[in-house]
Amino acid sequence: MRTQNSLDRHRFTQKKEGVLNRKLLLGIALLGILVFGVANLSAQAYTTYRFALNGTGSFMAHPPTFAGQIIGGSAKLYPGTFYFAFDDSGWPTDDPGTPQNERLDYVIAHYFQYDSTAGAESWWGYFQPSGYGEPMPKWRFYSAAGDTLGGGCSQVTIAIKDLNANGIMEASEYATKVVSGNMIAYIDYGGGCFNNSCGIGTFSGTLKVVDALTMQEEWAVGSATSSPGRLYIQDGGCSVGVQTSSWGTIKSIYR
Amino acid sequence: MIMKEKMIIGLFLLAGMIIAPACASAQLPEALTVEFEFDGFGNAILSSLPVYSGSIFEGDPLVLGADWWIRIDDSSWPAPSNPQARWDYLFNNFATYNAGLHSWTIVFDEHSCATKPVWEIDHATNGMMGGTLIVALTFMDSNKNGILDLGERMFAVYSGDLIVMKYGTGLFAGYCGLGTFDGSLHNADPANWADDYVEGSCYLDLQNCEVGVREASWTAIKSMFK
Repeated sequence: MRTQNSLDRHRFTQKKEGVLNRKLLLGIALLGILVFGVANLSAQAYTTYRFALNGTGSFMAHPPTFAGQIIGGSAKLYPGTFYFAFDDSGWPTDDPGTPQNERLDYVIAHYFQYDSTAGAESWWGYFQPSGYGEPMPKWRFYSAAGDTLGGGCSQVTIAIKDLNANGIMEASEYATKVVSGNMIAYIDYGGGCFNNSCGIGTFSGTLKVVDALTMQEEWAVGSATSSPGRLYIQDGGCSVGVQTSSWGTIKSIYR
Repeated sequence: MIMKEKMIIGLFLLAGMIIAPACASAQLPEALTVEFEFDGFGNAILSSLPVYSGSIFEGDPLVLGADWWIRIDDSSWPAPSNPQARWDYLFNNFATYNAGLHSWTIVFDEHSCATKPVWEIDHATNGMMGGTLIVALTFMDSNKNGILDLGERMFAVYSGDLIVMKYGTGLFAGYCGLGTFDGSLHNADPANWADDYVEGSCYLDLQNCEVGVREASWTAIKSMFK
């Protein structure tokens, strides 16, 4: 009888140890996945989507918004529509009664710096300028299939060449600009197949005046045959830190 | 007689002036756009006077197969003999954390470097062109903890604009203009300061910048008949 009780206790202890061992193995396996996952973050976590854009807009508008069509790129983005919107808090409006354009003068003075390097004379505009704490430009993509992505730009840079190197920005020089920027995609603006997605991206293109009277400008990134824009999107693990949630799962096994 | 000689010389110069642009335009048009894809390697932490370089593997035949490089002026940075101090200097002084976007951005320009970075494209037969540029690099704070973890340093995106100076050679001689580029940066082992692999797209908007020369020629010819 004593032997039977002892065996039962032993079996109970073995069973308990077995459960603990299984939990331990599961924990180690999850830890391994976590470590492997972090080590291979760049290789595994993101899916790359390319895009090309063509739209119009104006710094004269309130808010300054450049919107149009996604004209090429990855199937999950193209065809579709897009917009980039700048924050114009504090920008003056143009006074039609004066010869100068007060709004454009403010934009040039506030965001642009002149580089007088011989042979590379140019103006460089940073949106937003460092140290001012102004809201960053925002962006949204809407695919025709109903999938959406959006967020903010961590940097938008516009360059203008001073072709005659006279230090004066002529209308013809302002009319031909290049623009580039880096993008952050929030999960908050992901929809459809991007419902659980977030990520990072980048674009480069041109910003050219197409109507000097209304100061409408064409925002072009690539073409129907080239898609320089990139979005690196991760599906899941966006609302909370990936590492934090994984650790929480492992901890809960031992509760 | 003197007037006649001047007139003959003037006609020769005028003929030369007309023929020269005609030949030039036979080579390349007055305005030109060039698009291409590139990749390469570099190491801004371990290399002094860091150079990122590689090749153009897709795009316009004018530059396809060409080599490219970007050189960064690091004369104001700590020496690469202490890579941690060099990284800390760059990150602490020039990386801006955006708490709303959960990301860090470093702009490589004449403020973070002693002078603006420079670039060049060299094609074996078509010639060379180059100029200045700025690069904006963004790392994502994936776990939103406000700390740039090693895993987050393995991947970044960049974009920038560039100026094409009119000192090119070969087919690119006389062209100047603007350009823009974007792409991604991958680092397999940031803890040990491994080389960065970069890939991206570039667009160049070029125009003939030798107009000034022609204006000067007209002035010279007119002055002969004063």
